[in-house]
Amino acid sequence: MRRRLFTPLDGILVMGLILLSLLIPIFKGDVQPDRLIIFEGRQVREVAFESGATIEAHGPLGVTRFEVDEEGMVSVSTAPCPNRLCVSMGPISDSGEMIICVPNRVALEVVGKKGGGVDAVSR
Amino acid sequence: MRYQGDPRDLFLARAGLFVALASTLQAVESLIPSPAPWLRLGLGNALVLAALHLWGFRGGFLVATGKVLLGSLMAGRLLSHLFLFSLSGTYSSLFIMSLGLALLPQLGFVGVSTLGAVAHSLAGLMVASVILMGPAVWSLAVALLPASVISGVVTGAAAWYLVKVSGESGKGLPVEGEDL
Repeated sequence: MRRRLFTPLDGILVMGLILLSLLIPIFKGDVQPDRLIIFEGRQVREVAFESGATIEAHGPLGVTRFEVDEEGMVSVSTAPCPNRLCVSMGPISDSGEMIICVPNRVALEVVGKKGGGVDAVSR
Repeated sequence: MRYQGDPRDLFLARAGLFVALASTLQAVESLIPSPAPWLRLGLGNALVLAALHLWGFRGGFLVATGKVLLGSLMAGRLLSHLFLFSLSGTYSSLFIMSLGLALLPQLGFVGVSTLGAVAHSLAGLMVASVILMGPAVWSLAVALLPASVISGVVTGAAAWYLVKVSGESGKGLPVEGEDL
């Protein structure tokens, strides 16, 4: 039989897929951050995500101190590195976000239950 | 003009033309600037679909394989990690489209091609989540799904026109004496 260019079933399929793509963000919901991953050189450990907590990460230059404030924002309070890039990066709070201090070989990642979010489209 | 020779030669010539067109389209498309690497129209897929329709799975497989190898070679990303996306996407859409053609006669070219485009995108997301960034890439599905629906509709229309032009009657494996 001859196949046509566009049939009613095609219309249903196309509309259904477009509807589905509109519904995905509604069902997905927010990923609640519930823990922090601390990288110290090659060592990795996890700590609970609690507001008011102070976390110390040890690197070759000394101690990088992370703070979680009352609103759940994580930032670097003191850092031994020369240029303080990790401090000027500012606070983070969403899962998938990271603060990295390269000179002190220390990093912190916020992680949620459903895995990380995306901070950029990478090629 | 009427063709007098071996029909297999004519199939070879036509399939070869399809492979050339598909791989060139794929290579040229990768040169067009795009806001994101996965946002492409995928017109090469129109030739895979037309080949599937005209010659069945073997023809489609031939054109898909030629497209992915030659197209990536011309675009300079054969065996790079981007090649994995072409490879997985092309074959997933080939399998899904041939299933659609075989099982759903009520589906038109646009529908089959849309299924193929979505399969292409999903395969790409799977590859990305395995080799690149972890499950976070699934957030891209929100943007990827409508984009692949659009490209599926355009590609399906192109495939339909291609089949119309290349002659439905002979199914591409012509009997002797068919019009070229």
